[in-house]
Amino acid sequence: MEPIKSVLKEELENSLRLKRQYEKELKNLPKGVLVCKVIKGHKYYYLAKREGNKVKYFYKGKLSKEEIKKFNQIKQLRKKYKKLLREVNKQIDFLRKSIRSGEKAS
Amino acid sequence: MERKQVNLLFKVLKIFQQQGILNHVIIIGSWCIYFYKFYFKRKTPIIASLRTRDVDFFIPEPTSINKKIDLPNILKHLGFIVDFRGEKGYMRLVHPAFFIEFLVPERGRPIDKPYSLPLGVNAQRLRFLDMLSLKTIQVKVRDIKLTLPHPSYFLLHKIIIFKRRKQEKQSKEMEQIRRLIRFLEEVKQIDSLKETYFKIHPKWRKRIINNLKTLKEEKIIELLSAEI
Repeated sequence: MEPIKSVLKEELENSLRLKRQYEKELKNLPKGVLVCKVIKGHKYYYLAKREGNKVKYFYKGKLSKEEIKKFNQIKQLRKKYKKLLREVNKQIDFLRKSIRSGEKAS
Repeated sequence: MERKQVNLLFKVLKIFQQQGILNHVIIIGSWCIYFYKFYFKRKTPIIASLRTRDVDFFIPEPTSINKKIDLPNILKHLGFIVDFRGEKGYMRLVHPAFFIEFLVPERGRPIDKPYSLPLGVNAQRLRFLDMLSLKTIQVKVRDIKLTLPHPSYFLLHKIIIFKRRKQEKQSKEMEQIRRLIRFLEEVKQIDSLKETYFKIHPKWRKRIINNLKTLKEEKIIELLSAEI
């Protein structure tokens, strides 16, 4: 039983650490989503950011393909990190339950 | 979980192959046991073993990597992030499925700093690792050629180092050693252990015998001592 317990504890520590890391990465990612508006056939970009209860739009104007790609990559990364953070939270719950039930059994 | 984990690991290995990193690394640690099943052509792992999420990549000759690669950036889209561990700042690439860690051999005087690799990450220096590169085997899985230490070298290395592990990890290591011994006996490869034993440094041999005494593996001591 002891080796299993020590592995579970180590994995719990790892997951807690991972959670902190993903939260930090999410915090460091630039906020906002790029929104495109077509006005008289021209594409203009705005950065939509949530500020409290309101969503504010910040004018960015015409953007190059590279700039758009960069914003989209950030959006994808944020989505990915949020998904992985949910996964880590599930792992933490599972590991805590396993350790607790192991302690009860012994 | 395991299928997802293994699929992601193969995605990473494929990237390593494309970047030319795979030629320089040997997979060691608990994941090495997982890959042995392909060498022994088994459907299930060769021994039941507790596997942590660390995937250890051992680089026997770190200076042979002469191409600069930004691995953290390459693996970013898969969700890997850089984690710094301990006071010395060992780097790991972490993901909920597994952690990638690089190890290099510690030769000569102990150096209290991580080894800086041209891969955008550093590596931990560890004693006795050289032993794992003395004889290696190759397995081809999903069109990827992986290098692993020969099982007998892997086992003797485990016997040498288990006492250096933290107290709470020692029992897990001891259990793994016993299971590996039984497995090599089962596949009639236990004699390869003797051959391996005589190829390593006499100081290390002494350590092996002492540690086998702790493990109460008298039969193995007898086998190894037979021609001394």
